[in-house]
Parts: sequence; C-alpha cells; structure tokens
Amino acid sequence: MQEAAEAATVLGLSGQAWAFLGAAVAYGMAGIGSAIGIGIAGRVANGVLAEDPNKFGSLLLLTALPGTQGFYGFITAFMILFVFIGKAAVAMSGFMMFAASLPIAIAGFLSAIYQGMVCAAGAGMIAKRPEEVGKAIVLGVFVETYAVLGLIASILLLLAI
Amino acid sequence: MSLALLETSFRQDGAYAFATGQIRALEAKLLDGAKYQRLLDAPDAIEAWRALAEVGYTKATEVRLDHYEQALQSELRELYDLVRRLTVRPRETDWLAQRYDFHHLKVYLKAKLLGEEPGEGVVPGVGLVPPKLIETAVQTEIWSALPEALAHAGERAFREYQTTKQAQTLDVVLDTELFALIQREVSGHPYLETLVALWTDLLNLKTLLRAKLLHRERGFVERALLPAGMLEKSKLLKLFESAVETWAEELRHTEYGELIGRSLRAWEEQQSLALLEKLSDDLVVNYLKRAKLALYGVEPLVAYALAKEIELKNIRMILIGKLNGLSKEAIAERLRVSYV
Repeated sequence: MQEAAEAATVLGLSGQAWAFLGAAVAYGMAGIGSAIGIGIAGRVANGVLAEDPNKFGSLLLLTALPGTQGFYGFITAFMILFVFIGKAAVAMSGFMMFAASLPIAIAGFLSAIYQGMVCAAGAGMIAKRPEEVGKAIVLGVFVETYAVLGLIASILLLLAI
Repeated sequence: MSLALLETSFRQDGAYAFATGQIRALEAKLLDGAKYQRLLDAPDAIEAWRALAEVGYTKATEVRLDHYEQALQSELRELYDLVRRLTVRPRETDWLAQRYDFHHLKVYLKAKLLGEEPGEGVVPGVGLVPPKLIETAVQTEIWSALPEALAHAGERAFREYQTTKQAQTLDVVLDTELFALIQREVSGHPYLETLVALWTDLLNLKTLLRAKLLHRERGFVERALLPAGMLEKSKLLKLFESAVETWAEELRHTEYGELIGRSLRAWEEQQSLALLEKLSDDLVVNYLKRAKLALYGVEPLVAYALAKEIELKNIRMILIGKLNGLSKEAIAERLRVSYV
C-alpha cells in the first residue's frame, strides 16, 4: 500500500494525467448528458411553439432544466484543475481525483437525459394546460435531485483526498 | 367502456419529438364536450355554423353554410398535409392516406360495376393517389398506372366480382387487401398493431351482426371475415352459429360484450345499427386516447389524425342534424366521444 501510494504512476499514468482525465470526464459526460437532455426537451418545445408561440416563457424554463448537469460537471472539473491539482503530485491522489469525478460524470450524464424526457413530457402538458407549468417544473426538478447528489458526492470525495 | 384488456406500449422515437410537441398543442384545439355543446345549443344550422367559427374553425367557416361539405373536406386535406409534413418516415403514416385511396377505388368500382354515383364519397387531395388516376384505371381496367398494392386490390376485386356478381365481393376484397396492407405497415409498432386489430374486430363484428340479423348464410360470413383480429375467425364463426341473444354474454370477457349488448337492444327498439357504429367509434377513440401517454413517437400523430377525422364526422353530423331539424338530444345521441 505504502509502495503504491508513493509510486510515480498508477496504471501507467501520472497523478496529473489522472486529474486531467477526471476533469475531462466530469465535464465531458455531464455536458453530453445535458446536450442530449436539452435536445429532447427542446425539440418537443419547438413543436409546441410552432403552433403556439406565446408559450415561450414557460417552455424556456423546462428546456433549460436539463442544462444544469453540464454546469455541475464544469464545477467539478474546475475544482479539480484549480483547487486540488496540487495534490496530484502524488500519483494515487491524482487517481483518486479521477474516481471523485465519476459520481457527477455518471449521475449527470444519465439524469440529464431522463430529465430531458420528463421536461419533454412537461412541454406536451403545458401545450394543453399552460397554467400547470409549476407542476411540470417540479416534476423535472425531482430528477435534478440526483444530479445535485452526484455533484455533492464528487465534492465530498475530492475533499477527502 | 373498459379497454383494460388491451396492452399498450409505444415505440419511443426521438425523431418525432418536434412532431409530438406540435401535436400536443393541436390536441388542445380539438373540440371538447363544452364546445360540442355550444354547437348543439345553436337553434339552427346557420347559428351552428357561426358557433363553429367561435370554437376554432375560423377558416372553414369563411364560406357559406351551403358549402359546408367542401369546407370540411378542405379541413381534412389540411389535416393530411400536416400529417405528411410532420411524418419522419412516410411509410409510418402513408397507410392513413391509403385508406382513402382504397375508398376511392371502391367508390369508382361500384360506379362502374353497379352504376352507383360517386357523389361526395370522393375527397381529392387526401389520399396518396389522385382520384382521377384511380377513376381512369377503373374505367380502362389498366391497373399498372396505380401503386402496386392498389393495382393488385383493384384487379383482384374486379376479377372476383366477375365470378360472384355480388356487390359485397368488392367490399370484402378491398377491405381484406387494405387491412393486409395496414397490418404490414404498422408491424413493429405495438400501439398501432393493437389499433388495427381493434378495427379488424369491430369490422368483423359488424359484418357478423349484419349477416345474422339479415339471415345470411355461413358461407358469406366465412368469406367476409378479415383475418388477424384479436377475436379469431373460428370463434366468430362459432358465435355466428349461436343465437344472437347469447353474443353479449359470449363476448363479456372481451372489449366488445357491452358494445354488442347495447347495439342489439337498440336494434330491437329501432331496427337500426347506428348505435353500433357510434359505440365502435367510441371504443376506437377511447383506445386512441392512450397515445396521450406516449412521450414521443409516431403514435400521437396517428392518434391525432384519426381523432380529428372523427371530429369532422361529428361536425358533419351536427350540421346535417340541424339542417334536418333534429332536436339537439337526437343529434347528441349520435355524436362520437371526444378525444380531449
């Protein structure tokens, strides 16, 4: 264990390389998820707008909701690169940073896609019942919880290094 | 009416996300119970026509009431333009329009062979093939100008009519060919497959009931029944052999027990099967409503198109009823259930 912690590389990569990889994965995965999620919600919202442009206000909120995961991934990447990068001098710490990036990468990626679906269904609902926009957003926010938990888990893991 | 026995699953298809959004907005504009009531409450046809403009048909009602049929046909054409515009893979919705091609083929074949007037049964601009082309093919008996499925159906109906010389032959052959085509096109979409099976059953039950009430022989029914419904042909034939009073009981575990029971009671009272037609349409609309649960896919588009068709049918019924001085209760009885 002592030897592994002091090794110059883990699985052939230096601590910094692992940290970079962690930052890239955190933002990359969460960002892709957000793009897909917004893509799903946005296309349905566009369809509704084609018929009823007045609903832009409520649809904007719903379409933007799956975008938050990308921000969470970005925050994690930022923290790795600008706050914790010093610790990556030790290869194992760098590797742990990579591990710490995974919760937001995975939870962000998947939750953004599923949130996009909930928001797409919400956009369909608003098309018929514009007064229920609050409920559509609340249901979308339920999915958000798990992206937030992913971000918190990633931050806690980074703090534990 | 319970539809609990029918399973529904959708083929989620993100390519239809935009189309589904637009359909959801359009669904909100379909006539609901309150809007139908407004039309029914109009004292006469002219007032009903005005009320129609107030409930959303502003463009259709630009013409005078005398031209209501053309106005409704033009609404139907717009509906099919929308379907063609929103569909991602034409094959998935072309069968909707092809129903009109087959209908036109039937109308022209009947005109040629039985001397019936085509009249208003022809709606240009809705099907995939211009009615003129179908008319020419029927007149000249040169089928090659038509798309393969239509040509095959027309040629077969024509040939079989020559042997049987019965008008029903045309109906049976064309319905069989059309349903076979639709079944091919919707395969892989569980929701649409069930819809087609539901249609098949309803058409078979109507054939069966009419044949029974008109004392037709078993051979006719055997030829007329369409394959591949949820009710098997053997079960239907067994039903045909039994007394009509037992049918509702026999079908109580299916979707159709109540429909048959109520239709038979209406037949006893009024010697009319109009209620059967209404209840069949209601059953279909209630099934179509499930497409509201689909996130996105071709299903909401198809369901909207069919729901709108039924809405146009309802409007036509209200106008004809008002023009003939029927009471609003008498018209309301015939109206199909609303999709919204």
